[in-house]
Order: sequence, then structure tokens, then C-alpha cells
Amino acid sequence: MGHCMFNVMIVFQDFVRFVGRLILSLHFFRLLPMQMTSQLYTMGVGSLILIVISGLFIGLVFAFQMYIVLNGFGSLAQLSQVVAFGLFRELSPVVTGLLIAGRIGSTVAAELGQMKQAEQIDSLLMWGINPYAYLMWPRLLSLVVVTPILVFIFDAVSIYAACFYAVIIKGMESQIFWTPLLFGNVFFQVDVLYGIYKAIFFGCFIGLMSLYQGAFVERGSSGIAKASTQAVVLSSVGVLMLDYILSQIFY
Amino acid sequence: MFAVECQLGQITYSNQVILRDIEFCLEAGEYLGILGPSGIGKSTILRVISGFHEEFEGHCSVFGNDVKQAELTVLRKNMSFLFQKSPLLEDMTVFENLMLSLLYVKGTQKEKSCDIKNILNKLNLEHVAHRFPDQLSGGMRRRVVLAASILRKPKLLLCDEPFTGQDPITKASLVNMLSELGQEFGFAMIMVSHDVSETLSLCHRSLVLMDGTVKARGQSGDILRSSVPEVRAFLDGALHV
Repeated sequence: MGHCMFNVMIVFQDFVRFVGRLILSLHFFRLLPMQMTSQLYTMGVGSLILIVISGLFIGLVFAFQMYIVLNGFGSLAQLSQVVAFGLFRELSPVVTGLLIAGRIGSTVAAELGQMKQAEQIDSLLMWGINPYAYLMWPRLLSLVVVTPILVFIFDAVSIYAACFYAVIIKGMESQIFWTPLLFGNVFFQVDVLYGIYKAIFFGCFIGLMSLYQGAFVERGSSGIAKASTQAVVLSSVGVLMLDYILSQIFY
Repeated sequence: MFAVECQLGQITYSNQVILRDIEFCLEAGEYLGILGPSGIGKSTILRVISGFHEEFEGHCSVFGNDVKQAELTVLRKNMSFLFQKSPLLEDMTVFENLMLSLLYVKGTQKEKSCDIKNILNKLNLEHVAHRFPDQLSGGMRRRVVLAASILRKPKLLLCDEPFTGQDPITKASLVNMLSELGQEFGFAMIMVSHDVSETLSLCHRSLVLMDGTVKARGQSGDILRSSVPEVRAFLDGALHV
């Protein structure tokens, strides 16, 4: 137990040192448009299909579950509000965060780990280039930009999927679904914004965790595998913990 | 002033002593070979000189800058490192990689572009300028990495196993290139390798590391005539492979 705590402390110390170096390296950061565009494209466009498919089915399932519950109380008119509230505030940012942790977090950690093992990072240092500024900041910034956009897309797809279930499959009046959502609830926009605020924090956390795992990769191919697994596990757990903390703050 | 002056008592790696009593000086324009079997810690010496490895006792300076005290950007300003692996960024073309190596070098884009074209011509690589690293053969990659190292006009070149994985013809061509480039640019070089014949033919002096310390030193002839049994076994084995 003591040994385990000691290891956790060492990892925490390394992480704090890593974040410190990252902040200090801002001094050397020069925004290279090509590099940012490439990262934004890989992270954003590359994740689009995953987000759209997930949003579609989460929206359908959530509408299906809520339809059964609300039908029992005779409150079907509230379906869109209940679905939107759950989706926009919780499901959408959390599921997108978990998907991004899996898809982008592991890639970032593996990519950086491979670069470290191939001496590419040492090579940058020899050329006088700060790897934190050159490699890590563009990835972190891209994640912070891309995550809220993907959450917004998830929101849109999932609410349309819920509408599809209610209107097309269950035969609900389209107006009954949309009116309370668009005109009856002033909190609708706030719900969307809360989800997007959360997404910014999630993007930042996933970025930091993945970059840290990549930067401190152990030797050998098993080191890269371990780093990418750790990045996914820690980012996913972190997203869930952050979600609770941010929900407490925002309500 | 020496290009490199090393008086290293002990070099440790993960709290284990891997090398001890490593002493040598390198004059400007001189080539020094460091020979020895794989895994003995030859590359670690290069990492000490370039400021990547700090676990050592003793003193090491590069052009008068103490490795432990000097700011790393100052220490590495006149130094290039030809790494054992391919340090080219895979999402950039050869030209973009070379341009990146000059990011913090003074000069206009046009001047830098001209320097890159010149060095690519010199190394017969002009036709690969717009290819990506994964479209190059092993020998071409090596030459591109060499081009990136020379481009910054270093006064000291550190080469880590430059011939590993190369066929005999590529090895011979790399030896010629390093020799010609050295004469043209006047840099000093420390080359770590286990390719005995290439190292001895290229370098003015060499050290042979065995059992964690220097077992033989001198010019090619002195090394080849060494009577130390471990050195003899290494040389005989290496030269007959």
C-alpha cells in the first residue's frame, strides 16, 4: 500500500513538472498554421463519423427509454425537454469525451511516444526547437478547439435522432416535440452551453494526460502500447470525475 | 581550445555504472572513432557531450563550454547529432524537414532554401526533396539525416552508428561523403560505431571500449596492432564478419 502511494506521488510529481514545462514553453510557442490545420483536420474531421454514428444511436436509445417512462405518466409533451436536458448537459459531453479519449488520446500518446523512441524529439532539441512548444501545444490547442465542436455536432445529431424516434417511429406531432424545446424552455440554450463548457475542460484534460503519457514513454514497443492504454484509461476516468465536479459547479 | 575535452570518472545509467575513466580530447577538424561491442555505452558518451545524459562524474566541455553548467542552447549551437534512428518527421517532406532544422537559424527563407538545395545536390538527393521519409530507402534516409546535420554548419558532428543497417556500397559512399564534407566544412567529428574497418579508415584516432573502459587508443595502425586480448578478440571478430 505504502509502495503504491509512493508510486502515485512520483507520477503526480512528474505530471506537475510536465505541466510546468508545458506552461514555460509557451514563451517559445509560434503558431504554425500548417501544423494546426493538420492537427485540427486529423482530430476533428477524422472523428466526425464516429461522433455522428454515436450521436445517432444515443439519441435513439435515450428517446426510446424516456418515451416509455414519460408515456407511463402521460407526460409525452415533455419528451423533447427531458431528452435535451439529459443529452446536452450530460450524455453528449461525456460520451464525446470518452470517444475522444479512446480515439485521439491513444493516438496522441502513441505518436509522441514513437517520436521519443525514434529520437525525433532529441533531434528537435538539437535543432534548438522546444518540443513542448512545437509538438505539444498544437495538439493541446487542437483538442481544446475540436472537443466542443464535436460535442455540438453530437448534440445536433442526437436531438434529431430523438426527434426521428418520436415523430417518425412513434407518430408524435412534430410541433409537440419541437415547440417546448425551442420556445417553452429558456434553459435550452444554457444546457447546450454547459455541455460545451464541459467539453473545453475535457479536451484540455485529455490532451494533458495523453501528452504526458507520450512524453514519459518507457523503452520498447511495449512502452508505446502501455502509454497509449494509460492515456485512454486515465483520460476516461478523468472525464467522468471532471463531469461530476463540473456538474456540481454549473448547477 | 579543444573542440571536446572529456575527463569522465564514472558514467551511470539507471544507477548502474556503465563506463569509467573515459578521457580524451578532440581538436578542431579532427575525427575520433569510438569502437566497441553493442550495448557497452558508446552512445551514452555522445549523449553526455550533447547534454542529454547528466548522470556522470568528472568534467566534459565542448569548445570551452562545460556540459553541466552551460545553457543547452549555447552548448548545442555549434553541434549536430546524427542519430542512430531516423529522426525525420514522417508527416513532412524531406525539404520541409530540412527547413525545420533551420527554424532558429538566421537567414531569409530564400537563403535557407538555397542552402538546402546545395546540400541535397552535394549528397545526390535533389530528386527526393519532395518525398516523404517513408518513401525513401534506408541509405537515402541516412543521407537525408546527414544533410540535416551538416546544413546547420556545425563545428562538431556527433555520429551515432552511421553505418548500421547499410549495405557495403552505401557504407563506402557514406565514408566518402563524411570525409569530403569534413574537408569542406572543417568540422570535428566523434563517431560511435562497431563497424571497425569504416571507422578506422575514416577517423584520425580511435578508442576501443571494452568492459566499461578504454582498452586501446591511437591511430588506426596502433589499434590494429593492439595486443590486449579483449581488443584482439573484438577486432578479429569484427573484421572477419
